[in-house]
Amino acid sequence: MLAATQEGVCGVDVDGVITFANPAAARLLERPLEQLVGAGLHDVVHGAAASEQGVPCPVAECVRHEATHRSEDMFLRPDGSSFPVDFTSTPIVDDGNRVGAVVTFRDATEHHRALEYYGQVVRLTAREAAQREVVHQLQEAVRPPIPVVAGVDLAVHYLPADPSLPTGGDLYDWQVLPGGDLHLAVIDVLGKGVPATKDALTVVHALRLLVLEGWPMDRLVGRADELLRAHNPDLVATVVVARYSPSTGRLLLAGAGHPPALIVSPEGSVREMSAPGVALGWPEAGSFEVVDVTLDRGDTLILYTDGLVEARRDIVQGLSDLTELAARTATYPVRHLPRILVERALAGADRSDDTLALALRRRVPPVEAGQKALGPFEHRFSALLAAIPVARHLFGAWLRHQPIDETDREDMLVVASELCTNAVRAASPAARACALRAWRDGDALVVEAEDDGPGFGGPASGPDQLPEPMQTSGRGLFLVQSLVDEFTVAARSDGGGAIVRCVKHEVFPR
Amino acid sequence: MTDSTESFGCEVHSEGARVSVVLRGEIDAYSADRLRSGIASVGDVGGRHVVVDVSRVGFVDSSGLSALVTSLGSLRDAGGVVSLSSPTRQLVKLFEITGVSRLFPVE
Repeated sequence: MLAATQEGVCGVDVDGVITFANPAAARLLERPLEQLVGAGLHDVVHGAAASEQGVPCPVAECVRHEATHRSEDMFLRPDGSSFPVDFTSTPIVDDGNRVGAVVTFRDATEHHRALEYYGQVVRLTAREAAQREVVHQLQEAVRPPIPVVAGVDLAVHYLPADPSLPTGGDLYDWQVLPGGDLHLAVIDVLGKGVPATKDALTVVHALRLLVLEGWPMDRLVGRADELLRAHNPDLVATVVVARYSPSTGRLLLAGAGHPPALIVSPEGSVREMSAPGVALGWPEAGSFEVVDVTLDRGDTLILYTDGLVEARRDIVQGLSDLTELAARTATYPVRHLPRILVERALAGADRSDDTLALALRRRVPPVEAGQKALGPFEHRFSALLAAIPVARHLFGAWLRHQPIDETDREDMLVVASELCTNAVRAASPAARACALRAWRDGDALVVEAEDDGPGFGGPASGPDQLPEPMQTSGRGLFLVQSLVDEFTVAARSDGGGAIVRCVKHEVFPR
Repeated sequence: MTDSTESFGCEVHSEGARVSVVLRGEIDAYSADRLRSGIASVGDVGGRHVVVDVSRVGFVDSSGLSALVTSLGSLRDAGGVVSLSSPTRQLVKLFEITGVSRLFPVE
């Protein structure tokens, strides 16, 4: 065993003279075994000079320790080089007297190197975490939160060209103006990474300032160029600026070198709205004309940067693909639409540009009642899986007689199915422990499910947290929150159960 | 609407290197077990192309979607090359909203 071990093992007598040594000791100390035995251990590993100087030394003291003693040390090789060791000595006691010690030691070079790497990794990790935090804070600063405006659904999705540089030259802005109008801008600056973000931010702020100062739409881009040119002579950017009145649906668009905006009707017809102009930073920058249109109920405005249409093929083909995609997804919840547009447009693409998509939908109640609405719906059922399709079919039949859009019917049928499944899973086996109810509240459709279970604390994450694709369950709440405007969980008034309620607005005529 | 309320069914046709699975009706928490056992009955799919025809699937909710994703995922784990054929608009929408559309190619 002594011969096979990787550790050096020596026996020393009370004077520190080596009485035996194993082959590993000879190998580590680079001396033949016969040179070791009979020599002083301290002389061998630290040199005779150190012994004479009386330097205090764990090796020299090893025979004096009363118990096993561990320390770190540096050992010398005959060529004068040294190496770190982990060193252990155990006294040999014979009949109550210490007669020597067994000393084991191993080369700690690798161990020290590992510790050093570990230290480096810890420092780097801390630095990276700090950098990520800075980037995150900057992103927050750069991306304004979604304004809540009645009658408007808004969402944006941004995918940087380089995931390690999470901001780039694509930027958006949205802001509610003092009069209640909404100001939107999408900017695509030439360049990548943080310098491009900085340039894009200056454009965002210039446009915002000019809009607040009341500059007319047709002068916005030209004036922004005049302001920026003095301080940012190298800045080149395409922009599209929109001004939207939520109360009337009127939309003004001014552009400069930017690809056309899309307006998608709920039926899936797509209009390309070119707002022509010369990009910022070019001679005579500015917009040529202001597009003036009105969004109807359910119309969706889509603004984007050219990454969305240039990812796979040329821009003409890209635009045609995007138009087709926009038509197919015309009634998707706006909350997820920009993400889906970006995902689908870039599927399989060898992408090299930042990509941004922004969607705005006009949400107003339908104008006329083609059909009279039915009274409230209620169905009680027991906590059986078989009861779920039955409840859903009954609710579906009720929905078909409501004067509402087919999309709302489809979505609310899914919502009802989720609520019923949730109730069945939570309820007791008592007969008719669950209920599904629905009614009209003004222009809103309310659907709720009740069960007699202990209830739950509500959703763990909101509709912005996309489930993992392969996840085996837990998409129900995500889906429900994606399809409705309000989602609440309340305890039943008698405390003996839970009521989950969903509300979708602007479904019924007012 | 008749299609969407059709009760659930799963048929498997095996022809050489190609397995065709035809699903119909509604997939929800109630029919999820039948979907799982139907797909499990497909048998050895190693190296074979499994085409799942979902054109007659009228309704799917999140429980149905989870059962579909795990069942098809297990076919793929067993070495099958899985694709979906003719999904309805509702199914595509559900796939895209929940972010699972990139999992299985659509024929």
